[in-house]
Amino acid sequence: MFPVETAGSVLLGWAVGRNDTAHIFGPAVASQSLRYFHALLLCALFVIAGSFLGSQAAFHTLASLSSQSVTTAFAASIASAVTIFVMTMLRLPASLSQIAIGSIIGISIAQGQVNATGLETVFACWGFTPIMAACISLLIYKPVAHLFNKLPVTIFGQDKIIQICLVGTCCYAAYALGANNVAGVMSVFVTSKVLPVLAAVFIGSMAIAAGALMCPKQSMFTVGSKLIRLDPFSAMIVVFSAALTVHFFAFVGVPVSTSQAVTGAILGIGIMKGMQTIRLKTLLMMFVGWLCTPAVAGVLSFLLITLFLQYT
Amino acid sequence: MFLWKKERQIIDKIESYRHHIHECRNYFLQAIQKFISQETFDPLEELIQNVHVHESKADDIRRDIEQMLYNKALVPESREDILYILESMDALPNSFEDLCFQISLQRIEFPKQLKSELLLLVDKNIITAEKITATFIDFFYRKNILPVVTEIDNSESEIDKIERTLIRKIFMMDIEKTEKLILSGIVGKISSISDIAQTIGDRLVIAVTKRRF
Repeated sequence: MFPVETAGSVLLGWAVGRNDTAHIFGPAVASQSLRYFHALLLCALFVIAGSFLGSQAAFHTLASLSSQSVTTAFAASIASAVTIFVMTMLRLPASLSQIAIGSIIGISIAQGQVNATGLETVFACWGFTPIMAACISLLIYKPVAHLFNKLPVTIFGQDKIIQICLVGTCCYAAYALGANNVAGVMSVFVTSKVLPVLAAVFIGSMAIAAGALMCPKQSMFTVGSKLIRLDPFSAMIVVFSAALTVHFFAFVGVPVSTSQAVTGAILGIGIMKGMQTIRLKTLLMMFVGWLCTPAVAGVLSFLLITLFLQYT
Repeated sequence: MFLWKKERQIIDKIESYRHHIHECRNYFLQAIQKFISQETFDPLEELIQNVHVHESKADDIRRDIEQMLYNKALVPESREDILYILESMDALPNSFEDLCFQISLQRIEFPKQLKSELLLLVDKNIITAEKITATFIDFFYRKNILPVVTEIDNSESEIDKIERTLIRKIFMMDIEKTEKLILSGIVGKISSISDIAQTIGDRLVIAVTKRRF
């Protein structure tokens, strides 16, 4: 049955799916390689697959950050949901995985059980996410471009291959999104023993998939067009680099931001092509988001649990 | 070279488009050579009719290709480039047909003293047209088109020089001013074939550059 305490996390999962689907499948839809509805279905399907097949390490890492009770888990999920609202109101780019972890950290601090080593790993991974995505796109662009330029096909064939590869990389990115984010969304309920891992994965993946299925067409085109403005091939490299980065961190067990990985990968393409693909303002906003998102979530969950403990 | 079914259909249409432009060009060449050699106008009607038939067929095929490009999957950016190139290509058979009709309807007579230079001008322009039509096909097969486009650029400059010499000669001749204007207009129109080829070449180069990752 669906435990009511998980409502906040389900909302968080839904928001993850709704926001990140545009980043992942936007280029494929904007370049008309894939129909909007097909993109939504594929995204939901691969998110579920990634959640079930690749999220174990993240559950392990997040469990090691702090211990949880039913109350703290509930407080963390509510703090996450409120943080999404606050960050949206402030129009700051909020990473939903950072919100989830920020609220766990807030709870840990309130309980005086912070695992410093675990936290260091998490922060290092967040900082490393865009750098790694940028390095991957920078390194793979030339060899893959060389391969594509040498293919013995007509220009129509070349387009077809790019479209197929773009859809393939988008599916991979959706898989990585599921593998990386389901633990961030649901781990508090596993640590607090409200849910077994499998049930948590089920509820979390369904929430993310539902969010993916409700991603608005307009935002898919807006985000996708920004990426595709580079060109479909570069968009494919960006999505693949971001997916590889996010998947790598799913193995490491740290939920990271897909949109920050995408930003990093675009930056890599920009360096490669010697053009300005990202404005300084975008990087600044990303940095502010890095600092503010976990901080707001942490403070909120800290306040919530402190208040709760005082009045019970 | 590997081809998907839908892709094969478009490529076949493009090949057929090239064929009709080629035929249009052949009939135009025969007609204009006869015009310049001052043969009578009436027997040329059949040649002009053939130019018109092939121009019209090329037009129909171009529209089919445009429809196919919209219906079949293709990255929108590529589609835009190809449509632009097709539109520029269309100017080539149009200009063959236009020239034939103008000369025949206005019954323009070319002065004998200009014959060799006029034939040279036609010849150079026809070669340029042929080169760009072949390059247009090579573009779809992703062959290296840059050397031919450079050649076309050079020919265009050469043609400009011949055109200027001819116009200067026309205006130094002892004929009616209106006749001078008509003749220089026709010379300009013949020379514009290489301008069209150059425009197509430029668009092809842009499309190729955009597709080299």
